[in-house]
Amino acid sequence: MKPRRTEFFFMSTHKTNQQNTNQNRTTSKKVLSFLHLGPDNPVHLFIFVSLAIFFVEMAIMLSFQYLFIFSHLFETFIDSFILILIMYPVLLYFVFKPLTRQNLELATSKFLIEREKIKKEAILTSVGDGFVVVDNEGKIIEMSNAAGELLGVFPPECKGKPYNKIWLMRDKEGNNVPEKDRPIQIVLRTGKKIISDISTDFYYVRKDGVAFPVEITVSPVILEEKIIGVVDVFRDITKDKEIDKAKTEFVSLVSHQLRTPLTAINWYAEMILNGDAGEVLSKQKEYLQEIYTGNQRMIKLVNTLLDVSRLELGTFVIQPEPVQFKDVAESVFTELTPQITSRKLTINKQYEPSLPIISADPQQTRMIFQNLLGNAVKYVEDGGEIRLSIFAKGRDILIEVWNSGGGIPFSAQPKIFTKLFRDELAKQKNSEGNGLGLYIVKSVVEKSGGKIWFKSGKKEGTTFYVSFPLVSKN
Amino acid sequence: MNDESKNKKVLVIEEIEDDASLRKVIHDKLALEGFSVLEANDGESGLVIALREHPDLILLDIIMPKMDGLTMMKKLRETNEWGKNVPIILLTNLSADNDKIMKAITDNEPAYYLVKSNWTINDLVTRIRERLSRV
Repeated sequence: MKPRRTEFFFMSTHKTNQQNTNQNRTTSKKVLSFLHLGPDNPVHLFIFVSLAIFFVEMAIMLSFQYLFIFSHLFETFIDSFILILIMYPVLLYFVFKPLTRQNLELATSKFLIEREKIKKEAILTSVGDGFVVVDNEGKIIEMSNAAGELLGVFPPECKGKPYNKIWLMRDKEGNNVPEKDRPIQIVLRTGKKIISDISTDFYYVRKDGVAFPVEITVSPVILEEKIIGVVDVFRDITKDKEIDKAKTEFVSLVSHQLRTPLTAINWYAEMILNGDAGEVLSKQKEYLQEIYTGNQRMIKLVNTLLDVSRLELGTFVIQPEPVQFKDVAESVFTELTPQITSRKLTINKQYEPSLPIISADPQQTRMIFQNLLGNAVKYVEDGGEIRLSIFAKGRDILIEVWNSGGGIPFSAQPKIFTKLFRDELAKQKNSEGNGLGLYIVKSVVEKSGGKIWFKSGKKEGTTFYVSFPLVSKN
Repeated sequence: MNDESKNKKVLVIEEIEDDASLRKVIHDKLALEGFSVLEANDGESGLVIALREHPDLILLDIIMPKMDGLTMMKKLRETNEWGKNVPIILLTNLSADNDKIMKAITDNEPAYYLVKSNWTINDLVTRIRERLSRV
């Protein structure tokens, strides 16, 4: 009982380690405590009540004209003392105990909450990545030390300030991204997570004005179906980008160097096949032809690798000229005629009669048609049908390439435009092909301001759609 | 042997190493086609030989030791009236996708820019004849 009592009184006064009970204290200590204690304190209350009882006692006696009160002070004391002794357990049980228990619980809870809060703060501020939490008005609630370092600011100073005033964001051209387009703002509006990666080109700007590339994950904080804030976790990916660039440059360098021996094989094989090195026996000719064909495939692959690395390095140049899409398509069909006839395919062409001339890069346009029509021919079933439509729709020109057949398997569909992806079925049907074609087509189309997408199903076959703006972006 | 190609000298400038192999096959082909072939291993000696011998057409690689093809072409064009007008066909491994190359092409006007691995040797000869017949 005794330790508990001690806890009652002293926990509630925020003093946790004192061992004195109220009864063990000297009068002076009591008075001192009284002076220090607040009005809603049980110890104070007890003393107050005790004194009150004593003085009431005195007052009653006086009012009953107890003439000998001063000589009977001692008896008065005993009187009050007995009264208090009787009242004390009653008061204790019905007033003090619940009150102090309440206070104790409150104090304990407060203490535990405070401790948890401190722990959480410690965790958040020590998060190794840039970590910023804003409320639903965009004011900063939390910021990790790492974020402070990355952005060149002092986290405690940033709390309560709008995030857009603390650090800015730039796109890859170096232009400031307006607040309404910043990921944090978008997530606050829509509640949908935004994740970037090495290819999305976001830059955060430090206090000193230096921008650095970042990889960000911005997610909403949702409580009871309302967006109450946003968490932005970000990393400086300067190093990652450098590594990526070095890899791409390596591919480019090696690809260029590969062209020399490939050319040598090309030309020497050609010379022999032409008879420029003497007579060639038919078997020799046949084998040489295989060498030549294999070499041609290697050259094509090298060209593709170079296209990919150029796209990634940003050195892929679009040189617009007036292009008539219909003519390009027709010429590509001519190239594909051997396969079309040998597999008995039906070709259906729908060109809008007054198709405008588009400003586009002729080589790239050709490559797009070669890819789409080439794929259609590759993956259509024997005797199947291919349909090409080109027509203007609003401010765009729309190309649709449909081929009958089993379609692209559902599991493969999300990866269709990724690098080096070739579906198992596709590999079976056609061992050539390097999985880079659609990746390149998508990059080129999007660089020109267009869009590419597809629909495919077991029964409906596959349709690829490409839209190109009629007015070029540049 | 065509009449056109009689007495026409073609300068071949190629890189030293592997391109010794390409240099040889081009030389053999052009000789078969009736051209007279001069050779150089790098841009520096190529420039000297060109200015001395005045070939009718120059096949010029870009990546070479001592002086690269673009520099050589620029110098040649600046030297004299002949240098300004002699037909040049750039034969290279590089894709024409950087500003430096494109500027050089615009400034110095080679007749063609051919990526070696994308053309057959017969195509090369056709281009040469085409350019020469334009003179």
